[in-house]
Amino acid sequence: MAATTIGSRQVSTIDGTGRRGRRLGLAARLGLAFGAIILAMTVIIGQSWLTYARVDSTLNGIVGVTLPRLDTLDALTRAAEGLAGTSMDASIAATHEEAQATRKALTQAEKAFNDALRQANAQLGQTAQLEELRVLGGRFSALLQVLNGAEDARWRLRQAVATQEQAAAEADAHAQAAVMRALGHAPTPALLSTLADLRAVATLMAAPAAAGEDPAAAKAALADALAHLRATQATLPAETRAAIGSSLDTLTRVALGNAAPAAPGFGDVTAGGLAVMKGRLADAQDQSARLLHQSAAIAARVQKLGAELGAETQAEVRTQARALGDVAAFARRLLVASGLAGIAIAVSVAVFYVGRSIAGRVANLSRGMLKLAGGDLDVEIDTRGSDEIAEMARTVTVFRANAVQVRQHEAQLAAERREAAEKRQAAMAAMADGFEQSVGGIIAALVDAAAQMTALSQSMGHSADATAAQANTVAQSSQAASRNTQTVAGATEQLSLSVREISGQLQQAISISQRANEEADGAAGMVERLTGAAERIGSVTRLIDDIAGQTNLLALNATIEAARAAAAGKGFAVVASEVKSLAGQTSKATGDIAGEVAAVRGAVDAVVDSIRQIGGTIVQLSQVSSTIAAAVEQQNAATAEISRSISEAALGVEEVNSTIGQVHTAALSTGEAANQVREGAQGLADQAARLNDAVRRFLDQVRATEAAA
Amino acid sequence: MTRLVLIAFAGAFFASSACVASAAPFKPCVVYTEAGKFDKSFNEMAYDGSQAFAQKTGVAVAEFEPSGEDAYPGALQSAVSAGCTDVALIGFRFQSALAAFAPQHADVRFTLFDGVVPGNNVASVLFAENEGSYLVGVAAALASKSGTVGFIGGMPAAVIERFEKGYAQGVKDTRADATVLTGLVAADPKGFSDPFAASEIARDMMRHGADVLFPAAGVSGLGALDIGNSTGALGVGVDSNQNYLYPGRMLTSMVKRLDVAIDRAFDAGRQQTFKPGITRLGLKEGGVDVVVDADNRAVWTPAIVAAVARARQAIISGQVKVASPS
Repeated sequence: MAATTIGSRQVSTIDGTGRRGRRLGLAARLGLAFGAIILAMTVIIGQSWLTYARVDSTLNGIVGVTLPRLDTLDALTRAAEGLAGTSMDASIAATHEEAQATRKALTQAEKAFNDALRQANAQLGQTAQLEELRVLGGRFSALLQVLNGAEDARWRLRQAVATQEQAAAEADAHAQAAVMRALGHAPTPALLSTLADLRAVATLMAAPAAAGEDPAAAKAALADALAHLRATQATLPAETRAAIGSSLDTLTRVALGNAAPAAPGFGDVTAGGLAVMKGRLADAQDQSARLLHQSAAIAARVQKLGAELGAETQAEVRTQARALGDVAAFARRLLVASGLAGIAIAVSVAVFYVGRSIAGRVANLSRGMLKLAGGDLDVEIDTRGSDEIAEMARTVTVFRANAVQVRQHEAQLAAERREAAEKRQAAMAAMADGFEQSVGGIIAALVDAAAQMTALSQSMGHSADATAAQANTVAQSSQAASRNTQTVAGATEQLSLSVREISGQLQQAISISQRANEEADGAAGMVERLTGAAERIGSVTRLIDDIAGQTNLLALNATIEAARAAAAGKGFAVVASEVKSLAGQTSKATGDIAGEVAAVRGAVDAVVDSIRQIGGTIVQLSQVSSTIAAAVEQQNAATAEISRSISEAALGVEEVNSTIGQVHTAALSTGEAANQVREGAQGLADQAARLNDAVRRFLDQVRATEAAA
Repeated sequence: MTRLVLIAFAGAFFASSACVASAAPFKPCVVYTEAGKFDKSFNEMAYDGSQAFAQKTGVAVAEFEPSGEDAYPGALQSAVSAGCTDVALIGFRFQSALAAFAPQHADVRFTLFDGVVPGNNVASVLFAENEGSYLVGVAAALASKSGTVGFIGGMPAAVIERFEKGYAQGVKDTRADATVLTGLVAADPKGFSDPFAASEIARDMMRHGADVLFPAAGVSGLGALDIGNSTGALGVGVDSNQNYLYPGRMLTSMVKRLDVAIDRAFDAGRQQTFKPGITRLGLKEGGVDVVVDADNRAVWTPAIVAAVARARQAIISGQVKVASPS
């Protein structure tokens, strides 16, 4: 911690001084290097951009301007072709319907052409061809309007002329027939003259008209011929005159037309009579033909101009495409060249500048730092230069100085630690010795106590066995008494006969009961002794319990000490905990023993009571026997009472029998209890031995640990 | 109701005066007929004029090209919706549409060319056809070898009469002995769409010695010009420059300068000098003229050039008064 603080302080000092003294920092150098590369890239990108902008503009020129132009031109050319085709169709139309259809087609073609032209105007701008096309379009429109007028007039006139001619022909035929009929009746010169006049009129009417000619002359000739006919007609007989009158009227109407209307203007085109109509028809036919011819010429010219424009635009496209190719090729060369230049610049900057002056030095410094990290404090650090690498190198020298300091500090620390360990070992040894002494004494006392307890229990067992044996004897005696009593009862019949014998036997019974009483008293004394032994066992177990408590306390102390000794006392702590658990187990065993002793004592008390009762009974028996003996002596007649008394005696003996059985059982259980006490004492002795072993192991370990430390 | 209208009017007035006071919004627009702006006629002239105006002022001119007469009201609505403040309508065919539309849009200024619609927000621009026709007459008189020239009108109407009288006056003032043949195609507007009738009239006139034909009859006139072209008479175009139809065979075209007129109209809008009512543009205003270009320059002898220049000067200065029947 301290070293780091020192280090950072030193570094900051160097940093502060280094920054002031630095000419060109690493960042600046790298910045310059990358700047050079980026500059090269920027120049390349800029060039590419400019070149592609050129390509783009050329392409845009083609796509945005030239291609629509081509479309427009295509439309224009198609419109021109439509014009030419429909013009051709119109010029060869044979019927009215055909003519109508072709005119309609022509109008559509003209509209299409003008639409295309309008589009072309918007897209192609002002060119000579386009201007001419517009002029041609205007002319064609004008022409078409005139043509439409002429065609309308032509078809109307043709129809009108046909109708009128037919009417005239019919009238003429009718008139000639009438004249011929008259001639058949009576040929007169007037009739012949009329016929000639009629034929003259028909001839005039059938005469074709020429375009541009004044129809007035033809009309005047017709009028003259008709006037002559009228004059001749006047000379005809009334019958014939009347027959051809209406025909002449018709002929006149057809030839000269109705009276002209007063309204101003040109009027109806079919007005003015057949000659005028024929003249106009000729005019219309002439005009139509001429206009169709013109329209074909215009269409051809339009087609030619369209083709020229198309060719021009195609040439333009080709030129643009070539220019585009050139630009693209140039761009490719430029890109390759500038790319190579850029790579060269980047490589040279990377190798000669960054590689040599930065990467190499960083690698050197890195090696030095690795050695330093490996513990080589004598490594050479190159601190020349004024950039960050030099600063890093100077910082590394500071690290090196710090490392030297740290190494010294560590050596000092190790010495201190060694000294402390020695001290602690000694203290531990002392503590172990002390512990051995205190705990060892306690254990020895414990072992002694256990041995004592064993001995006590053995003597108690013996006492119990003796009690049992005595009790057996009592039992046998009482059984014998019982049998004797029965014999007495059986012999009561003979009592009168042999009172002396009975009396003697009674004396014998009394002595036996006295002996039994004495023996019972002895058994009670034995039991009293047994009670005392149990009492003593109780006191010994209490002593053992106390010892276990103390051992536990000691083990606790040892645990605390072990915790204080930290890692070194770890093994000690394990042993202490084991001692503690053994003490606990010991305490539990003594508790068990105490319980058993109490049980024994209780049993013994019961035996004592029983024995006392037996004693009392025996005394009573003795007294009764004495009384019986006296009574036998005194009263033969009281045999029945004697018999009853004997029965009572028998009952008493039975009771003695059972009581003695109980004493026997109590003595057996006392023996068992004594056995249990012995087993407990044995367990205690084993535990004490194990405790002793554990303490020994613990102390060995403590000592071994100290020796190791 | 009356009060509401008054309030509306007052509101409109204040709003418009406020606009004038602040920034005077100005957005010029042209509504062409369905013939489109490249029709080599009125529309194209209007287009040229609006382009020139845009170039001169830097103010873009919005354009609307309805697809047919049915679409005129829609085109007007579109123009107004687009925020146009000054709407120029090319040709009398907008008359009925505008008469219905203009009163509903009092804040928009409409200029109708070659037609008349009344209204406080409508300027009707007419042209002094008589003055232009006078110059045609001068040129025709000098170009005619026979001394007989023809005029073909579409129908009896004041405007046709202005053409005819101005023309005849120009012919007679230049060549007193010259004959001016006149014909009408029809008694009604059909006379503007019957080229064959005009052709027949032209043939007849030529049979009567006419060698210059001046049709003022719309489409019908084309028939007359066709005959003139095919039979050796000089034609005269009308309204727009039609010299290109028969190069070398056209004396000139009497044009109504839609380009000049539209420029004037937009200028008035821009400078807030819009004046409703009828304006007639003559030679002085540059509203009418005769065209000399590559297609007819050969026909124009120095004498004709000089005479026409003199006549123009005389009319502009007021020395010569051209009859203007109406």
